[in-house]
Order: sequence, then C-alpha cells, then structure tokens
Amino acid sequence: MTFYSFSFLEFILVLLLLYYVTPGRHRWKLLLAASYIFYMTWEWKLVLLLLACTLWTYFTGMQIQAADSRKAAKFWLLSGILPVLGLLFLYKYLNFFLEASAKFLTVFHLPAESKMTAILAPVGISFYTFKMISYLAEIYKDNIKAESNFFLYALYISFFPQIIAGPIERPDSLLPQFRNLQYNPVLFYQGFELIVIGFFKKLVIANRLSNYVDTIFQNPRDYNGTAGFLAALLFSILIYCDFSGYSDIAIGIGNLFGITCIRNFDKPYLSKNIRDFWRRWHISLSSWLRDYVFIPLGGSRKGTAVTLRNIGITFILSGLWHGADWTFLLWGGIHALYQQASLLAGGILHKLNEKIQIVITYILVTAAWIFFKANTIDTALYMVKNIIFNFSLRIEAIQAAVLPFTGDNTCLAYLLTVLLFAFFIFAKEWNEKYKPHKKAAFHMAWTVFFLVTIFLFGNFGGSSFLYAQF
Amino acid sequence: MKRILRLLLITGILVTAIVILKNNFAYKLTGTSYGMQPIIKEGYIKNLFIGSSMFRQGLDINYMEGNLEGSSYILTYNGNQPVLMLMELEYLLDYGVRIENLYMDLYPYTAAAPPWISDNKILLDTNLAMKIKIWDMISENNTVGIKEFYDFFVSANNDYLLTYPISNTLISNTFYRGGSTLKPEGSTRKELDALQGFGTREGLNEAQVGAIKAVIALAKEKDMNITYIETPKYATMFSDDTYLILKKDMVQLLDSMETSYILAEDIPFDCKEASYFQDLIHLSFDGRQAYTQELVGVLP
Repeated sequence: MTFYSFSFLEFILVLLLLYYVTPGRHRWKLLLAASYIFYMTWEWKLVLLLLACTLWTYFTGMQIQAADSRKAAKFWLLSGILPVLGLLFLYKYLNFFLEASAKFLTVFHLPAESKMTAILAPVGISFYTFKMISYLAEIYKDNIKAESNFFLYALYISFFPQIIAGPIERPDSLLPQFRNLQYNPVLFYQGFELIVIGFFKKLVIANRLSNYVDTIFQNPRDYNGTAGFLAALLFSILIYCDFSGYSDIAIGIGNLFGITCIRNFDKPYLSKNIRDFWRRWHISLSSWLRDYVFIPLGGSRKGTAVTLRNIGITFILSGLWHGADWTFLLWGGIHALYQQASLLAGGILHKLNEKIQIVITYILVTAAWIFFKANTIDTALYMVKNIIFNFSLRIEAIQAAVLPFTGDNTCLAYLLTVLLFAFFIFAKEWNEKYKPHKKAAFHMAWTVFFLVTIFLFGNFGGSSFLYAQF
Repeated sequence: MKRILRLLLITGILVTAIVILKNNFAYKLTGTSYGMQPIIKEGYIKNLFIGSSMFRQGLDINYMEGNLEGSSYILTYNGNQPVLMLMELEYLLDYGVRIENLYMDLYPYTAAAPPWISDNKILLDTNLAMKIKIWDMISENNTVGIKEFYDFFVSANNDYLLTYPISNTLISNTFYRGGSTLKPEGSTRKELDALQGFGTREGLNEAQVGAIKAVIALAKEKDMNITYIETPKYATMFSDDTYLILKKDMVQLLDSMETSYILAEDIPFDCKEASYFQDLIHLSFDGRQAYTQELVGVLP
C-alpha cells in the first residue's frame, strides 16, 4: 500500500475518523493496530520478524536499565544490537559478501563457490533496525529510560508513516508524544501542507523523471553524452523529490495525528559545501551515523589522521546502508573523499561567493549520484566518460537526448514541464532560505498551486518510493 | 479543518475551470502546419491523405505539392485507427471542408486492434463534442474507469499547453502541410533484422471494419475519390504470416466495397533496402523520397 494509492487514502481517512472519536489516552492503541495492518499490506509474513526484533530489543532495553554495572549494561547493549544487526546482515548483505569473497578467492586461483541465496530483504528493515539500535544506545547512555509499556515501544518501532523509509525518529522525541495524543489544529494544517508538497514532489516531478533516468542509466552505451548529462542532472532532482517527498508525506501524516517529527531534509541543494549538504540531506540518517558511529569512533577530537579515518568509515557505512553493492560503497567513498579533501584543504571553498559555493557543491553531489544510481561501477565510469567526451550542444545531440522521454515530438514539452516544476521547488526553497515570507496567504497560494498541479500533471502510475528499497 | 476544506474547494474550482476551458478551447492553440485545424481554415483540399505515422514518414509532401495537381495535405496521428480516421473525416466535413481525392492509410494492424485513442493530439485538435464522441466510442468498446477518464479529459496534452509557446514553435517547424520535414536516417540490415514483429492478431476488428465501410460510404456520398494506400514495410514484414493474413482480409474487404487500393507491391520499391527504413514500418528520408516519386506516378 503505497502512499499515493487509493487504498492508502481510504486507510488514512478511516483511521483519522476512528482516531479522533477515540478518547486521547487510547489513541496510541489504534495507531499501533494501524501500523501493523499497514506493514502487513506490504509483507504480512515478515511481520513476525518485526515483532520478534521488537520483543528482543524491548527485553534487552529493560535489561540495560536494570544492569548493576556498566559491564553488564554493555553486555545487554551488545546482546540487543548484535542479533538485530545480524538479521540486517543476513537479509541485506549476505549475498554481497558471499559474492565478494568468491571473487576474492578467484583472484588467488583458490576454489570458490558462491552459494547465493534468494533472500528478499524485509521492507523497512534498514529503518526499523536503526531505530532499535538508537533506542538501546540511548538507554545505555542514560539519555532515556527504557519504555516499560511494550506496546508503546512496539508503536515507536512500527509507526506506520515511518516504517517503510523513515525518517529514523529518535525515541526521546517520539515515545513521549504517544502518551499524550491531542488534536492540534495548527499541526494538522501543517501536516496537510507537507503532504501536498510531498505528493507534488513525488507525483509531478519524481514519477515523471523515473522512466527517462532508468532508460539512460540501464543502457548508457545506447545514448550520447548529452543524454548521460541530462540523466545525471535529472537523477539528482529525482532522488531529492522522491525521498524528500516521501519524508514530507511521512512527517505530514504524523502531524495529522498530532505527532511532530524531525525534519529529514532542509534544502540540501542550497548547501555551501559537502559538510553542509550532509547536515541537510537525510538528516535522520546523517545524525544517526554521527551519534552512533562517528562520535563513538572518536569524532574529530583525536587529531587529523583519526578524523580522516572516522570520516571514511562513517561514509563507507552510509554507502553500505543504502545497499549491498560496490556502487553504493564507492558513492559513500566519494563523499568521504570530498569531506577529507575539504578538511585537508582547510575549507578553501569558504572564500568564494556563496552562490558559487552552492553551484560547486551541487555539481560534486550530482557527480557522486552517478555512482549511486548506476547498476555497476563500469556503467558509472562509462557514464562519466560519456558525459566528459561525448557531451554536445548540437541540436541533433539535444534532440537525441530528449527523445527518450516520450519517443515522439511531445518529448520536449514533457521535459520543459518537469524542469519548470522542479524550478518551482527550487524557487520556493530559495525564498524560504533567503527571503522568508511569513504571510499565511502566501503559503496558501503555494499549497493551492501544488494541489492544482498534482491534479493536472501528476503521474499516478509511477514506481514506488526509491528509499523503500533500502 | 475549515482552512483545508477551503483550500480543497478553491483547488476543485480551479481544476474544473481549467479542464473545462482546455476541453472547449484548446484546439484554438493547435499548430499551423499539422493536424486538422489548418485544413478547416483552408476549407478545400484537393488531395487529402489520412493515416498514421506511416503516412507522415512515408509521404514527401514537398514532392507531392510539386507533382500533384492542386493542394495536398497529410493528416496523421500516431497509430491512427480506422474508427478514428472516420471520426476525423466526419469532423472535417462537419466544418464544411471540401475534399476531392481522399487517400486512406491501409495498415492491417490498426484495423485489427480494438478501438482506442492512440494519440492524444487528436484531443488537442478537436472541440468538446468530438471528444465526447471519441470517449463514447472508447467506452462502448473497452472497459474504462476513472483513470481512463482522467487521462482523457484532465491530463491529456497539459504539458504541451503549458509549454505552448516553445513546444508549438518547435513542433510546427518539423511539419509542412502535415508532412514531416525531418530527415531521419535509414537503418542497417542488422538493426532491422534484430527487430521483433508485432505478434499475432485474431483477424480484423468488427468496429474497425464498420468504420472502413462507413468511410467508403461517406466518400461516395460526398463525391470524393477514395483510394487506400499501403506504404512499404521492410521485407521481413511481408513474410510475417499474421500481417499477410490481415492484409488479405483488408484487400477482400476493399474488393467487396469496390474501392481502389494501392498495395506496396504495386509500386517499384526495394523493400529489402535497409537504408530506406527507420524501422520495420517507417520509411527513412531516402525511402520517403524514393517511394513518393513512384507513388505520385500511379495515384488516380
């Protein structure tokens, strides 16, 4: 049940109705039931895995709190985290490591037999396992108390707007809210606005771009460098609109139920440098990696060499989190290199005009996206080579690059339309950052514009959200 | 909640107004070198060719203008089916257009397909009454729901209309009197041999056959000379059993209606010459020139 299906609309309307006729103290129970029903519409068999992980981490959380020494607490922390990570490894990374080790053995002419298993990773596993780890780590660090009510904890893990693709909400922000769920008209309206923006990004921009981008990235050798360049550029727009669109909808749905959530994106393509970009892109994951990987490794407090190492490890893990593939690892590695180079160069970008900094950062991020999107490293390298050596602004090259949008003479109208709407998103974010407008009528006008555009230009037949696969 | 309802109401009013305006008046914004509107403005066409992209790619309008008596125009929509060609002809006649020689596309596959609109440009070219007529035809012959209705009346051609000043200028420049001015290159034999055929069909579709009969009857009633033309297809198409059976059925139908036709084999044209084809059914620029020169010589 995707967010933009009619069945989800029915689900949410019925749930809202039931929710607000239910007394406040019982509302969380309804949310818990709804969350499990929602998850079962994706994969009803794997709900048992979710339940088992929830039970185990609930139990270990209680043990960490009850432990009479740091050693015992650490034991229970690891007892909670390792099985969860083990499951994540089994479902997401086992095949990758089997294949990689088989290839490694082949290099040394050793007998290698890769026994790949057909395991399909449970939907949302990367997100809910990180929530569990976060919960246990915060108890261990004495930042929160273990939740005594198992069902409230189960709701924190399975909260339906977030279980498929985040945000990875922290327990200290979400759990206390479940105890006091009230109707908040301001939050309700904000949620509605966010949902509209999210649908606009997904249906009007991301869904319209996905076919073209997939076509070029799957067979880059069939297209010229101009098409490669356009596909790379459009993928940067697609992934932003797809993922931030999902996050907006997820946060917005939370708001409808009186729940505030952390912001997952904050105008990332207006970042002045890569570090700034990671403060604005997938904030819930970036901050998770900062708090539970980078800082425990020593962060930036132990000299340049250790900082460089920690940056490398954190970004490689970030790449790996996105998927078990060399392309994701390389993508993480490229971002690590950007950050390391910036650290060593002492932030030379800072001396430039702010707009130039934004453009340079965008180009660097977009170049790295090529490795993220390509199926293999060879394909990514070919794309880069094709863009550098076969890019042309000749009319024939542009025609050939644009034609795959629709395959006929409507292709240009299609491209111009989607670029125009992407520009609106950019203009809106630019205004919010540099010329904030506080009048309610201004925001209402934007919302009406987005709604009208969704009705007239929405592509409702597109693919699922990209981050649902992670 | 009141604010949300107000927003939804404003949105509903705006969307409805835009959709009504679009469906009633968008045809006034269509191209000046392609589609039905230039024909209506002109009022009289001596040689009108109605067909699909095969006519657009296969007929050289410049050559026909120079070598056929009177005015010529190629009216094409992608995948144009007989049922739609009938409606297009009726639409033009309703607007008082006079036609002397009518040349219709003979492509058996579109005549074997269930009625459907294969090119939304028709909706851009026509008034609301015609759209409703097409919608009724689709609904009668297919199972349609909200999605189809939405695609048909709400979302069709919105991109084009939004970007009209640019899109129309660029698209209009690729047409002259309905014919394509683009010069697509031919393929190689290897490329064409690698292409798949179009699969099997279960004979001609009843509604399409009815439309062909209606077109012929209308032509007779309005004193138009009517000829069906099969543009050349790459050699492999002529060894495709399904294509040959459907073609035979079409020919039998035209014979039974005592209607003239020109088949691909009636024209001296090398269907094995790969450089004459973009793909299995569309001619390249070279193919278009070579074929039109021969065709003009035999047109009645």
